[in-house]
Amino acid sequence: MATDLPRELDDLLNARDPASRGRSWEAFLRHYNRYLLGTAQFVCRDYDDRMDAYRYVIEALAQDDFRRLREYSVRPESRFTTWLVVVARRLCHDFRRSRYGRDRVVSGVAAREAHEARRRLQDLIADELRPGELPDEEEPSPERRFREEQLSASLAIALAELAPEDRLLLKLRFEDGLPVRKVAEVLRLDSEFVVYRRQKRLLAGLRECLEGEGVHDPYP
Amino acid sequence: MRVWNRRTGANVDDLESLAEGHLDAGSISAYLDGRLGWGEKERVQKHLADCPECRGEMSELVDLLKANEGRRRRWPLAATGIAAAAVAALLIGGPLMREAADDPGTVRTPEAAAERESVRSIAVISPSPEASVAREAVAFAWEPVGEGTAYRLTMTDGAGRTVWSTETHESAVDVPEDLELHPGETYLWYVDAVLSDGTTATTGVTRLRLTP
Repeated sequence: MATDLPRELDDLLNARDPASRGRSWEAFLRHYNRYLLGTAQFVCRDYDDRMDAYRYVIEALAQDDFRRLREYSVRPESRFTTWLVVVARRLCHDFRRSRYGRDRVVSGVAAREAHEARRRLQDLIADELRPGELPDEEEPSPERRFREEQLSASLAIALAELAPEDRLLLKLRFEDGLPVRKVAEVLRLDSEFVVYRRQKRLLAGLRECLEGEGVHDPYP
Repeated sequence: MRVWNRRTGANVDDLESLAEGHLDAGSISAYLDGRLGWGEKERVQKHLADCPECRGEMSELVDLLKANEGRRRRWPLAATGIAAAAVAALLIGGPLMREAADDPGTVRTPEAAAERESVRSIAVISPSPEASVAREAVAFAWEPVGEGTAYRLTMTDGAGRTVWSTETHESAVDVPEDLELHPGETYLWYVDAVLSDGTTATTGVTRLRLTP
């Protein structure tokens, strides 16, 4: 769905001489400043970092005759302000990476990946599907270990067959641990009740699917 | 799809444009705005389900957009306007410098900044925008704008990098002796104020030339 370019952007990209380009750039910044500053403020907690990130974003947007902004003009499918915030946020993270190095910036990602490695989605959902209290066994028996592996394998197959939106819902809910309200926002759903209903339906469907595979009870 | 390859490390200046294997800004923003067609939306959701990095980005963006929408200005209005003006002046100096031609020391007059941002102006007492000042004589003073006003003075180098910033309730402040300033160079400085009634005021961005 293409959309018209905002006037400030249109003026900037079509400015014919340096003077009018300068005026248009100033008008552009005046108009969109709060989005750029708001993004820098969101990404960087420290005041100096924030202002440096803000400046970095502005320089990057102006770079190569406003190349990034021209990219939006080629395919203006979203609101310009949304697109601008997405790009500004990425640039702010670029800035932080260049200042502090990769490790510190991506520590959140690394932590997520480590968390992911520890508990796969199917394990988390298997917990949801397990009826009653789990027996407290320090050393699970070989038979129990076999049943757990069988459950995980069947669940992985069932998950892979879900529609992308349903799989995304379960990932957000169980793997990322997001609250239902946030899951609804990321999925662009109207309310959290939709998430609750869909989650209930999905878990019931998975349980049914597992039973179809002969997994009736995860524990012997 | 363009690259946003966090795994390659910070070895290029232009990381934002490298987004291989991840969702590009256009797809993400169109998804967030609910403007994708069914097939395209499904493609994005499929990628999100398989990509923890893009899920993390999407999740953060949801919060960021909400914060932007509901943001009450936690920074003085003047600071936002001036920051933009100062950076624009540094990047494309021509128009702003010409605008200030009548006052060669002022990148943007406080009146102009105040008019654009609907904030009060603060009159600079010293150093005079036209004067060149010896390093040891650098001290800032401005007209007070009310009891209990909090001021933030920011000083940047010619490239816009903050070299010093301080907060005070006084209307004058000395530069720390150990602050490294280079004779012969030009710096920029401005004072933003938050008044007790919650309104803001500014000096506008002013040049400070040090004698060689």
